[in-house]
Amino acid sequence: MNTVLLHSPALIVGLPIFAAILLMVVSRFGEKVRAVVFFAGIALASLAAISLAEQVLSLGAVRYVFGAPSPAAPLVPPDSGGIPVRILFHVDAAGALMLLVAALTSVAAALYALRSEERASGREYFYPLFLLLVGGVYGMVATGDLFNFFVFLEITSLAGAALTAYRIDHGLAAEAGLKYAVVSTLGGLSFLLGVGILLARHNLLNMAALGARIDLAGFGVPEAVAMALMIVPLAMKCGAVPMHQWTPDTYSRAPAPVSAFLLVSSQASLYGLFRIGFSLFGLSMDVSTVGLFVVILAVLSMFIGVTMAIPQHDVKRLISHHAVSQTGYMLLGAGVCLAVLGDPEKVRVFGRDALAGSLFHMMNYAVYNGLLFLAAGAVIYRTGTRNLDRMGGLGRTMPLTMACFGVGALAIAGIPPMSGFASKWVLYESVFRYSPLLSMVAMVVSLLTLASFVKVFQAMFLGPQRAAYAAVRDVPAAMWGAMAVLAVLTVLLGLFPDVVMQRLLLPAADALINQTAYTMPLGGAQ
Amino acid sequence: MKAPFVMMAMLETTHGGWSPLVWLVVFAAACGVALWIRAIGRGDSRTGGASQKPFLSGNDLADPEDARVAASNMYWGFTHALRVYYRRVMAFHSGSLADSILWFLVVLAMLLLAGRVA
Amino acid sequence: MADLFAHMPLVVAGLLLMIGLAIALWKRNLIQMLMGLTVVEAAVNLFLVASGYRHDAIAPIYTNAAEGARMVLPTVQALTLTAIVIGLATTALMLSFVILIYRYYKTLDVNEVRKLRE
Repeated sequence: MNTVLLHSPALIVGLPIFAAILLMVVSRFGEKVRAVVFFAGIALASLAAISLAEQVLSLGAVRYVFGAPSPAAPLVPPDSGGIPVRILFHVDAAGALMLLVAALTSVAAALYALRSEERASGREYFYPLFLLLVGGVYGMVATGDLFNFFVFLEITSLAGAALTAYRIDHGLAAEAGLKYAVVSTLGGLSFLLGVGILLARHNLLNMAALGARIDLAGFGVPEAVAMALMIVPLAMKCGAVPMHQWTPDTYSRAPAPVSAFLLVSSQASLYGLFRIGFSLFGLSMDVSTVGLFVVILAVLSMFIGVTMAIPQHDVKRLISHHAVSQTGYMLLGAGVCLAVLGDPEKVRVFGRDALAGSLFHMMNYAVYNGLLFLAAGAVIYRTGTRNLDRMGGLGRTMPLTMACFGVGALAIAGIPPMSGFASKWVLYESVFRYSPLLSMVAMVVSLLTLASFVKVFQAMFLGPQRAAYAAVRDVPAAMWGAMAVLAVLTVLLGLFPDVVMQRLLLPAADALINQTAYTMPLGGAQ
Repeated sequence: MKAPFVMMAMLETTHGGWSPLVWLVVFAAACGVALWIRAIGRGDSRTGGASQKPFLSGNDLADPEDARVAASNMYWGFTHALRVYYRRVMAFHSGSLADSILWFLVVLAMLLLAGRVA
Repeated sequence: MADLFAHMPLVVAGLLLMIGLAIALWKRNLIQMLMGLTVVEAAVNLFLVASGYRHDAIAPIYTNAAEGARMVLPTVQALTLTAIVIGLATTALMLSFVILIYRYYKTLDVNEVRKLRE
């Protein structure tokens, strides 16, 4: 057991990738074997991730050295000239938060996929790609090495694009996949160029050591260029306006469980943005300018996302536009914290809360927006249409789906006591201290979100029954169970916000704000 | 392990707080008020009359299935009032791949410039 | 002038980057656009390899190396190899999407491959 715990950082990435390869081998033994290997891969990786997160939260950050005689080998080998030559996985409280999010949603999405993709062809490649997506997300969250981050970013992009286009859908899904792949490739290249500049300048790839070095050597023009080249692609990958054009296309055309997990992969990019903004550059860069830049992206995302959602009539596209809008909230909290990072008093009074609220919203969003995608997918699964104008009266025949969708809709609109309210509340309050106007924009956006979901709920579930759908039944148990898991989580996160805040979010926010805690053990690498 | 309702404690932020427990109490009270209002209503309302027929803007509906506002029309007033904004923002969402690349480069250039000026 | 020669690989990488981005932005054919992306990728890879170059240095192999000999940086070469492999995979994936799009849309014009918009 101790060995498993010791190697859990390697297992979270190794298990899904190993299961993906194993699936290719055993897929000829039939559907049952395939499903078991797929689900076991996801579930075991989740267990490893949860135990790793628990270990980090109770005992402090975990650093895992790859390629050393033992994972606990010295981070900087004595004969390496002060350079941490090996690849490290570095999980602190912020990483633990993301691991928990990915672990919970991946299990729900996988459970759902087992049934929803049952009738589809080509599952022998669908399952391995999904496993690669999950493994890539874990890798992005756990790694402490910039180039390694780039590799995992590309793995998630590749698997995500392939899964998006999996049901060709008269070429529409292929178009969505192409858009996702092109912007991801361009973003990846930009990120790689930034990594190359930093490597050429400092001979380091390890984020912690690099952070300490930049802090010491000063933030020159090359660092400024590298910072822009790394932050902008990550903002694009999490769907910030005006670089969000791929988001509605990709989320709406991907199969429902894939959309639900693509959200988490976008969150992993957002986590990367936080990591690079706070831990790598932190106070070395001009935080107020970059923070203001992030805040501007946030306001644009919130407002344009929600106003674009209002006239939509394709249910998944509507939810995808809301995903853009919700990402704006997370960027807002983080941007405010980044903008005041130079002033410890302001950080104490509201910056820390803003970042914690942003992380809280990230966690809630992954759960309730995933739930909304799964519930919308369930309706599409039964009715065969994604057009809201053609739905109606489904509450009579699909009450379980209606209940789950209702929970998700209340949460995204910020109605208490669902989780969305608690995180938005923290954001409103803390952002208000930075600028009341931003807080008001956030509230107006929340109102528009509510209006939009009233429409969706009414169009899908209420009104007179349609003869065409009089015979539809509720979805199979596995699909409903997956939605129920997420719905229960949404309610619980809303009912016990204080526990989550103290145990998980404030440590995570502190881990991001306190740059030296991240860089310290490698700071001697000068 | 504390009892669950104690764990629903106040979520303290620096300037205030939020407690689901308080909300649940208020919600229960509001439900009580709603039930009370319902109870003082008249019990002799007729059923089966014209008052129960679907009504949509005074039109006679042959098919009860049509007794709904289509989702696309629901916020017509909102989108119509903001039509100048919507015309622009829709044009911005052109769906063209070249535009996505262009906007990526524009934002990149802006952050580069902001970094240089500062 | 000598300075320019010393930085020639970087100058070439910069030029390639500009050419690639220009192709990706202005070519209307999807395959040509992907070619532009491939050129950008080549530019980034060239930059990576060039950044590891040391003047008058030998290949980073310890066998037969003279005492205290300068060696080029091997890390970037390993990175570039990885980046090339990843680039190959993404290019193949994108080209297969383009084939699918052509099969259903009968066009490769970037202004027409936008059924998903708004």
